[in-house]
Amino acid sequence: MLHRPEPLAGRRGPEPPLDGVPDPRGYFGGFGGRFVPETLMAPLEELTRAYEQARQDPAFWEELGQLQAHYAGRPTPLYRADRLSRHAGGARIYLKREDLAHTGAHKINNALGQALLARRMGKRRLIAETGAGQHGVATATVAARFGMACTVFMGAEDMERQHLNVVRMRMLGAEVRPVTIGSATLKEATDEAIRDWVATVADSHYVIGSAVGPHPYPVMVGDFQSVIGQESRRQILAAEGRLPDWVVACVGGGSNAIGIFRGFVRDDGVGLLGVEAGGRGEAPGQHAASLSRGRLGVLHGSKSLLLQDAEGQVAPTHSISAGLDYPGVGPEHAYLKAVGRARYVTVEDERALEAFGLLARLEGILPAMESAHAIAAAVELAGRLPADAIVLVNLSGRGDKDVEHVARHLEGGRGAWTAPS
Amino acid sequence: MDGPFVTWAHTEGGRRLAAAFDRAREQGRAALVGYWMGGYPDAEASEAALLALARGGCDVLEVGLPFSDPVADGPVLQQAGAVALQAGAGFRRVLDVATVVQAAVPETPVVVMGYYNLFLQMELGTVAAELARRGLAGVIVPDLPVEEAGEMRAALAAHELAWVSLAAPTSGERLALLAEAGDGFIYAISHAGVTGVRQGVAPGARELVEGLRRHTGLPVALGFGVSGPQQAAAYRFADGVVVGSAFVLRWMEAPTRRDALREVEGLARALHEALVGR
Repeated sequence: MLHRPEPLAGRRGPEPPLDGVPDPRGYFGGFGGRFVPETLMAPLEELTRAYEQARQDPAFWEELGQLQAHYAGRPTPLYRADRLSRHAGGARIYLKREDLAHTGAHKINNALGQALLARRMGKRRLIAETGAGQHGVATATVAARFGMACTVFMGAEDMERQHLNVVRMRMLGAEVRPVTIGSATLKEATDEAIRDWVATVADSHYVIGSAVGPHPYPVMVGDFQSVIGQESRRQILAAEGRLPDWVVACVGGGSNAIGIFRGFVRDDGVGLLGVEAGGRGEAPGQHAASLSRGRLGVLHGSKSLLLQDAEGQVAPTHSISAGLDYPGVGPEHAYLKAVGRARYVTVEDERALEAFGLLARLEGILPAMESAHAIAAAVELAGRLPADAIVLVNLSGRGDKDVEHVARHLEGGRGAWTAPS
Repeated sequence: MDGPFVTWAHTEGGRRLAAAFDRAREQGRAALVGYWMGGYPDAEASEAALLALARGGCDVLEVGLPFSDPVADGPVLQQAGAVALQAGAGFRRVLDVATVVQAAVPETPVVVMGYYNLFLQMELGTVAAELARRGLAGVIVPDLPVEEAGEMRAALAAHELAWVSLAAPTSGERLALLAEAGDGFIYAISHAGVTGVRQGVAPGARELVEGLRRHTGLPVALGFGVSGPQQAAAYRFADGVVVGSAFVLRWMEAPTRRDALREVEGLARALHEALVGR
């Protein structure tokens, strides 16, 4: 079933996430803040002021709404996944189809918003980091759309895992800079993007791709992604006449989850379930479950839950999904967990792979490996709920980018494959 | 504001740092602050390198704490930090290095420079007590802006340790705040960017130093990008210069450890001489 209400164009900006959070310094309870080199402090203050002005300017949201409707393809549909629901054997499962947004993931929501803001601020170049490549593609896309230069930092390991998105970014005119140090994944790409930004802050805007980073990024990214929750709420009310029992989303940095959670966070009867990458197991270095197994720390500009060793060195991570392979998490999630408003679980690589296959065969949808984590948890949850319960899952992106990677796993990892330069 | 710097310092550690700048000024030169990555390439060699910096004429020593995600550092210090971590340079191990060095050159104040997460993982009061017990002068935390530093500054002050603030060419109206919060000396970042060797003189550097002097009588040392004696001489308008990556790069390029130590000491000496004539 497809449900498609009228476009968002002309609507007002997002509601604040929750009463009293974040505070003016960007703290969600004990999480958030600004931990950056001094060079970035005044530019972050400028960005905060610019965003506050934009936030209160109906013209900003009008333009963003037009772009969302006519360029990005919003609203995305809400789809009742009957065959998947039957397989789960319990609740009705609905999928919020962010995979059908332009560029194939929710990342376009944030990239459009930040690019509009960057243009208001007179910036001519966009910097981005990317793990799975979806945020890089979204940023390269909006840079092309607005005639801006674009540099995307990506771990060399991720460039191999997500070769298709590297090609897409280059076709869109972006420069993709490989990062070879450390684990050569999202963490290092973020380090490198921050380094570039420190040196180019006068004319570059750093489009952070998730609800992480120094204030105002977590709240700003959450605001731009909250369109997912606003739409889902209206759509499920129209389809079922009531709110869902559970809302499920995968969490790496956490932007798609914050986006859909924001639509329901004030509804106490709606359970919020975040799904982290359980990787190969609970041992350090084998997963990317910062909410489940991390401890308070500071990385990439904010204080949040962080995977780290006893002395504070950031721990290596692993996930089959490049987009979840990150040792930190957005402060809003850490807060939702601390106050008990959201619950967080882990799904291991193998279960995510199974869920990928399940959705492909039962519904004809190839999910992003990130989203497959959410599907796995949602199927298990739905199976334990009665038939009249409703589980809403954010299908944050499509799986085209993961096809080769998944195929290699299914073939037992055989077959050498290298990315062309 | 031509009196002694030391009168502007808030703590014992701050006074030791400011006094080092006063001594340099009495000798008619800007002070030389030498940075070395603690534990690079291993603990013992990093002690030797720091002592070579002191022999070469550094007035203040900075010992870097290696961190997995050094977002304010350029490729040279990033690489040095990675090597140090590989060699097992944990927080305490590097503090041990700093302690040995401080005991060997008691007249040269030693500060530790490290990213905030490393300090946060111990209770801040415990860290401060430990640094004080080890005879160190203070800390520099490149990713802890003054707005977030309240708790750390209080912990340090309780143990008479200096919190050295950083100021950047982009700081603008924040300079007053940074100058007021700082202790010992103000670390002025010459270029918007990460640490590393650069050529030429940063265009906004003089303005930054003058801006800070309007708000404080603490010494102002320019760092980030100072590559050699010529550039150091061009920065004599500041009260001191900070050199780090250039030393580490000399070490990396030297064929043997003995050569490396000689190179590092030689560069320190050349920089020291270049700073005369302030």
